[in-house]
Amino acid sequence: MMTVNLQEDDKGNLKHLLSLEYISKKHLLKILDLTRLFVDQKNLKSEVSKILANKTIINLFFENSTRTRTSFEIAAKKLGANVINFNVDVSSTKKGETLADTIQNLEAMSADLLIVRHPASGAAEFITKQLKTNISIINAGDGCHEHPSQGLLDLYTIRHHKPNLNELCVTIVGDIMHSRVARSQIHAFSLLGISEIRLVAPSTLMPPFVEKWGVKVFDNLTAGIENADVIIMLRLQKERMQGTFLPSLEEYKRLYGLTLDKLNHAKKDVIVMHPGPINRDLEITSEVADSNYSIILQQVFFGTAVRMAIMAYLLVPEISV
Amino acid sequence: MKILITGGRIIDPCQKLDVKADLYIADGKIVSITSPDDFHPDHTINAKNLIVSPGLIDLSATVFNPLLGSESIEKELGCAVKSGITTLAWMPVNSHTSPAMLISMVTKAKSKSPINIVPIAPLTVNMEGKQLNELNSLKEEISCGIVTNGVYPIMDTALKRRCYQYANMLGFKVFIFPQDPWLTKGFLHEGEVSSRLGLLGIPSCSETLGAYQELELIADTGIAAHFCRLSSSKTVEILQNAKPTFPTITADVAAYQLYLNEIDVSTFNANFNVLPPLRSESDRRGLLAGIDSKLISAVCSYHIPQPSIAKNSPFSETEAGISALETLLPLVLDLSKDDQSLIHALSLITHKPATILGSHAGKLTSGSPADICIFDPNYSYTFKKENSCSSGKNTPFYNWDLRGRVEYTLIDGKTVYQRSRN
Repeated sequence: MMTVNLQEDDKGNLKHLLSLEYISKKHLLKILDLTRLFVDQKNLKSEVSKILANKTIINLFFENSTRTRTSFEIAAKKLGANVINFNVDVSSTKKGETLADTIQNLEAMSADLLIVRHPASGAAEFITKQLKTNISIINAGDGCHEHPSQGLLDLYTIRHHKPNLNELCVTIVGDIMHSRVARSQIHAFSLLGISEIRLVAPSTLMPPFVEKWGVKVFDNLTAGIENADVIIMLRLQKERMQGTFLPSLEEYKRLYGLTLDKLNHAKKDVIVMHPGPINRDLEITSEVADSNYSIILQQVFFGTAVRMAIMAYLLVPEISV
Repeated sequence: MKILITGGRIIDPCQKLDVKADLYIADGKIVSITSPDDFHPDHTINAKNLIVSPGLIDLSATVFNPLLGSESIEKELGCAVKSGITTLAWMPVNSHTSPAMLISMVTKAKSKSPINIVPIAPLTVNMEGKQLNELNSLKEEISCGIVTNGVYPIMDTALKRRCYQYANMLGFKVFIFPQDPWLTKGFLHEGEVSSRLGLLGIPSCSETLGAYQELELIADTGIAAHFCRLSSSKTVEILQNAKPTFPTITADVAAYQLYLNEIDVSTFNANFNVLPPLRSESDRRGLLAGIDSKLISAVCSYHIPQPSIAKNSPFSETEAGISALETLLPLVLDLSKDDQSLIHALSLITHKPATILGSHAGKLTSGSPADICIFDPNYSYTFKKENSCSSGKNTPFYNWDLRGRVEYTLIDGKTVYQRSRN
């Protein structure tokens, strides 16, 4: 059972959001359209705060994350849902409860939706395969594999500023190897036909065989952002390093940190994005982060709407008709 | 006790024999394929339309998995016999491997199962790679002649060298899993799939670096060596090039490695979690080429049964291993396209692995032990979980269409398995 079938029910409705690699273009466009309605706050058939009334949503986070969890929580509450935060203490996992057992227990509590973040790649798919009830799953990040809601909100943000996707050059900079955000972004951008996707990373942080994804690979920042329309800076994930990938943060900053000066290589109307939280003055200087090029805060704003759209689309699909 | 196996097609790869003939057995030994004088069989087996082959020799099976408990040992050995295996090399596990415990388990298993067990000694204590194991007691008590540290790398090269020196002194052969200890920390082959899935991969150079190092240690210590479970086509090349300098080195591959590749892992299905990992399609073809060139002379099951809990987690949190006894014969049979290649295919699981193990089994020459596998090479079936006899249901081959079914297994002339016909 591949993820492509796993995400949809037998009527072809989107039941779960696990990955953007296997999402159909139809569903992706519908989610983006629905996002627009939530952003504009008009043309909605029902009152927003009633859309998920009486639905129970559980945030099941096996990894610390205030930002994503809060974003989902705010989105869910705006839709009128009940939200429970189930923070799995690492130590209780050590007490022996398997992930499969945790899921079974939660299913027995009759929730409508589980939003899961887990440190193992493939965890969201694994969880979905355990399900015995009708509960829906949103993957809020599984290891280094995918973070579909982030990919969608980044795609939405880009399309908002640069509607002609097939004349666009998007450069993603940073620790691509360990980035679930980058993977989801690449799938989303490819699906909607963004014409050129570039990756910039030191060789030690570039996944092997990545050219097969139809992307251009650079280890030099200025070359990678030459004439770019969109630059996405990724956070240097210090805590994910297993071993020594870089000699020092200082050297990384010098080679890959985005400054106003380096930004001159990109297009004049370039937009700078970042999934957050930013390491100020490491991968991105304060001047850039606080400049008009940066739409980082707008990403957060759209993030809430995208998450509302995802949840509404999964639980109340008729809303998008 | 005189046994006659009649009407079958006898294939004995050791003698390059492929002939329709009867097989005569007396007192647990092969007598001949021509009728001896005055032979009145006590028992006759009708092998019409069946192949009569030496009993299969499996170079590597984990029959004791602590997660399954020692009660499962008998079940696994029974499953092996049912799969046509008459000699099985018992792979140690990295716990419960104190020599005393291993001796006790193997001795008990031998008393309960007729299968010929060749116990492999763990090279270091608990295979942790920190301390030499008491190899002599294993040699004396259960006739161990083969030693391994399994997939657990020995970090300290100086210690590893001393282990080989010591094992060599006692006449052991080492079963080597070539790998670099630092590059081996991943969960699957480092390649397109690992990059896509966002999982740490094990690069091919882990195995090739390991192979180069092992060759040097073999030359330095003089130990007899066999390379296990090749996974990379590059390792095949390295060993091929090393042949002139190392003419006695042998190599094997797990049967499943010839059929699966990294793309199978892209579903995150934990039944494809194996070590060494399933590599690229070109690696798979390289392994098949290694069999054709005879660099790889044996195929084993590399059976590792796991309880469902060991596989029921996200991929990187599961235990490696495939439950593989039941698919050994069908997967090897499928390698052959004609009669010529059938003899070669059967050699991979009969006299070649027997030679590697230092066993006299695996052949049907006069005087050999009457260890025989009689099978229907044309019987096709869908391999179903409910028909599976191992304690471990961790195999990706369920619902595969397989060909080749064991009808009888004989050990020392005694029918230890006969397929029930109801």
